[in-house]
Amino acid sequence: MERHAGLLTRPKVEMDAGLKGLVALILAIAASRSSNGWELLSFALYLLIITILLRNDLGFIKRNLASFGLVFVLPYSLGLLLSLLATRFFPGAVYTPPISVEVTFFKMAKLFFIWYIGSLYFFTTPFPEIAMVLNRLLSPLNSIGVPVTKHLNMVNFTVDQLAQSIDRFQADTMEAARNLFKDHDCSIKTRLGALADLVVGFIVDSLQTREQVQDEFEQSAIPSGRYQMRILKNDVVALFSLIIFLGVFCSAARVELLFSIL
Amino acid sequence: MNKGQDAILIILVCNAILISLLESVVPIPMPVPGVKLGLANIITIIAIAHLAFKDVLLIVFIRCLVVAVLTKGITALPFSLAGGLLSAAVMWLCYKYLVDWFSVKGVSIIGAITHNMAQLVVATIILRESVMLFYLPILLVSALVTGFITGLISESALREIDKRGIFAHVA
Repeated sequence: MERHAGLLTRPKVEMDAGLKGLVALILAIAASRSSNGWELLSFALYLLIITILLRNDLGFIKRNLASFGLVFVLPYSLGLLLSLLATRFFPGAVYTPPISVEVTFFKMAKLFFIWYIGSLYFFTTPFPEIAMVLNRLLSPLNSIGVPVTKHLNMVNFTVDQLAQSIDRFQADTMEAARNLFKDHDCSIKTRLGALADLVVGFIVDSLQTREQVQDEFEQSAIPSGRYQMRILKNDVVALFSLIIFLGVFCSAARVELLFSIL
Repeated sequence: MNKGQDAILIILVCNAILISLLESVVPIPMPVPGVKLGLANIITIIAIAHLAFKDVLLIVFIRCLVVAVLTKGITALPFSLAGGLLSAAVMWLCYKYLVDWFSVKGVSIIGAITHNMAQLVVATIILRESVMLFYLPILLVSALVTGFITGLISESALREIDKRGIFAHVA
């Protein structure tokens, strides 16, 4: 949750949210179409440079690797281990699918790049700007009864509310929960009961601010249809670097082909 | 929709996200790393008990979107949505129509199982690797433990909310 702070401050390099989204989309498509080690390597280098320029925070890469690992690598590794154990102890009794670690590695690398591009986009673009782009893109749905603007406004407002309430929550409720589990004399059932009381107290208190939250929400609309693409110097640099990268990316495919011929 | 209904949804989404932070201080032994307690499920159960089905889905949808945008990255959204929406729908069915069969703890366990299964199926589809399904037994055992704990807290929370009549004004 400490990462929220980064999202709510201005990004290091300001770019147009729509154009940046388009660049991210092109990169994600290129990542999904990469088919050899050279292409993946060129991707990794390009994303590293972008990360340094946009965030200057290599911990961001580590956090993404950890999240990706928990969602994909860990279940796959444990699934693989269990399937090997099943084959070892119950030969013929359990169907195990054919396994190719190399193919899976390529798939995971491509998937990680797509994951990372999405993550980088959302972490370096203020959410209100993303909401304005989405509102502009999805606004036709409003006319067929899907209240896109209202729901985007709710998401935007929720992000604001979280930013306002997280410090108080950490100081009060989390501290109380921490103290609860420090006491080793109580049984786990007693502690869970006390945790339930804490949670209920928190919910009750927060629901009492309902009218105030409703008033604030009604005054906090996203400027409807206000998004206009504005191309800054950074956008031109980004587009230029993307064109160079795509050139290198295509060359990487030829290098791989050359190596395979040799 | 009542005046203040939007605010209730926003507050419950915020609560779900904030309450899930408590997981870092609750020392529940898990058989495998990465398995979460799913305290946000408490809010889903409270919503199921007191709000309309579409409001429950909206709360889960906005929560998944906000969490994906703020923490995990937008690529994690298909997992959160598949797990969150499917488990909310199954829990709603169990809570509303199979009330004689399931207690709140039972509903919570069913929700945790559905959530884990949906996420694993989505990961399997995306990666096109059925070997991941061998991980399912571990996730199911974890879901029993986490679902029971979350259900225990939800039951207590629902009792207290009913006693205080917090949602009495919500139609």
